[in-house]
Amino acid sequence: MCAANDAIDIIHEAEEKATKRIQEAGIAVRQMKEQTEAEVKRILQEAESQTKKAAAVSGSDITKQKEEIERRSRKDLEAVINGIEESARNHRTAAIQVVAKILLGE
Amino acid sequence: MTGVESIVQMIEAKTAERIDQMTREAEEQREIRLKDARQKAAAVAEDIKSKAEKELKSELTKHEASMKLKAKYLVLGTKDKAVKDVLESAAKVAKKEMEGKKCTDILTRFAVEGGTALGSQNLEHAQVAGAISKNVGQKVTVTIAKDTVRASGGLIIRSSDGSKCVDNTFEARMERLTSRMRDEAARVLFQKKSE
Repeated sequence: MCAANDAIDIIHEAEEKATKRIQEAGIAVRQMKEQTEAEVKRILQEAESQTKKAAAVSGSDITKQKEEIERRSRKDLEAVINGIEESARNHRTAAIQVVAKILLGE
Repeated sequence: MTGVESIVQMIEAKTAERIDQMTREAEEQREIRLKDARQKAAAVAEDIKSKAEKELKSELTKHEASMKLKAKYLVLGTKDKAVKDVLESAAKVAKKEMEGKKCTDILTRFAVEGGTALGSQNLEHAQVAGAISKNVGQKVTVTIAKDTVRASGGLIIRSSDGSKCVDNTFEARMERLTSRMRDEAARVLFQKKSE
């Protein structure tokens, strides 16, 4: 009877140990999950923040690009205006005569 | 090995197996979750990058369009200035002509032009009447009215019954012919080299 009790105790003890080990393993698994979630969050935040930083850097380049557009536009405009003014200077007398003739009904 | 030892061993073995399985499954889940996260991160990054590029492009396009519009206004302003200068100078030249030797010729021309437009038969003045008669194809008489016109030059032609009138004063002609004069001035001023 005593030996049987001992055996039951041993088995019970083994089962308790097993339950405890499984509980500990469960805790470890939960911690792993939490770590994984934290890592997932970090990966997403990092990607977002780094891309935003990169976009901001390329956005700051817009001023340079705008200046380049303005420089090009000014250069083109200067050439066009010079052409217009030169043409106007060269044909001013002729234009005055033509308009005066219209005015005088000639 | 006793029966108890065997049972304990079995419990331990099963426990180890269960723990192994739990750990394996957790690691697999972790790998899957991280892989998903990396893919999502790449998608988020691509989305942010694409939006930023689109905004940049749109901003530059707007800026370029605005610069082109400004340039267009400046070009128009430059042309307008030159045309106005021509119109003002032409008006001075015309006024000088009207005050000079050609005054009679000019007034005659204005009268003929006005009279022809009216097509009236009751105008009097030999030279003018002759020219108008020739233009309209019927005999026309011209009379010079006693009333004076308030203008820096030119004349007003009226049919004898006063129903029709052509204002050929200098000011009226300036106003009436402005559009045509501007067009002509621009055509001559800004003609292409090949013209």
